[in-house]
Amino acid sequence: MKKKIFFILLIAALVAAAVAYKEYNRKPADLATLKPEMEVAADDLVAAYATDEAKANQQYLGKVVDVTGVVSGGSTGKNILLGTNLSAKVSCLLDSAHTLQSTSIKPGDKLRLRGVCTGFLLDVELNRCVVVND
Amino acid sequence: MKPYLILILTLAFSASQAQKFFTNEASISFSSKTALEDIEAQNKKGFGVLDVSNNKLEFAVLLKGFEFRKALMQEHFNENYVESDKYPKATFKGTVSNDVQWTKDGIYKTTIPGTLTLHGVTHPETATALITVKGGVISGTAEMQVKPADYAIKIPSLVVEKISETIKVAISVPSFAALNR
Repeated sequence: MKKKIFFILLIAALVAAAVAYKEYNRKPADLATLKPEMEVAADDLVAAYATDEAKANQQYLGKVVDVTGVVSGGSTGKNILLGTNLSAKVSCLLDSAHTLQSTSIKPGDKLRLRGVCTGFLLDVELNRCVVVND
Repeated sequence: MKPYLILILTLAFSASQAQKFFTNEASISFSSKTALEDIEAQNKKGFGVLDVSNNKLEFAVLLKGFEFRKALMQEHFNENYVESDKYPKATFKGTVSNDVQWTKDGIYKTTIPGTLTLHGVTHPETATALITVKGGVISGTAEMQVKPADYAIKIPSLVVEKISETIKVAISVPSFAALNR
């Protein structure tokens, strides 16, 4: 009986240790595998931040957002600018595991990008972005 | 409502337009090394403005933009330490000391005394920097040693041994662009 209890406790301890190890080493999730918390058009997102940054942060900061819009000039293979607003765009830094997708992207293309909103500097900033195909 | 945009436009419309430079791809990283753990994070979208007429240099960075290898560390950093929902940005405002000649090619070692605003607290910090001027292009790297305690950042006693008291912050600007957007 004692031996049985010992083994059950040992297995429980090993499972707990494995779970803790896995959680400790968990990498930030690839956004292609997550559902977005909300969807917004690039120009609307920029307008929200231009009107009231604090309110826009309450709505978007730290959230996984799907942004749809037109690719703007100034986009590079690693960072895509979306939107037609002259003073600010949505600046989407591509997830380093997904930069290959950007080789075929040109200004004027309509895109849907999923990223985490990190806030507003010169543009609305999104990180870990992946291109989403409808 | 758009402080950085207003700053840029103000600088852009001033008479000496060629004197203002900016970057929105500054790489800002920080690292903490202890016997127990090495923690590193990087932000690839730091925003910086340099005015060579008065040597003023400003950087701003979004704290949620710091990427860690471990999701748990990134979450603790944002939720518990810097509370980035409350204080999404950190800014550094400084003045490059007079050793740099902006129109003469060279590699200049310099210091940049200023203030860092982080977690709602503003505290003096001095960065040491290496600024390169080559063919009219300004680039550089800078470093400062930051103490989380100076910014009311509370590290729980459970992990205090894993985070060093002084964090090394490094800024790298591959090139500043002349101001025109």
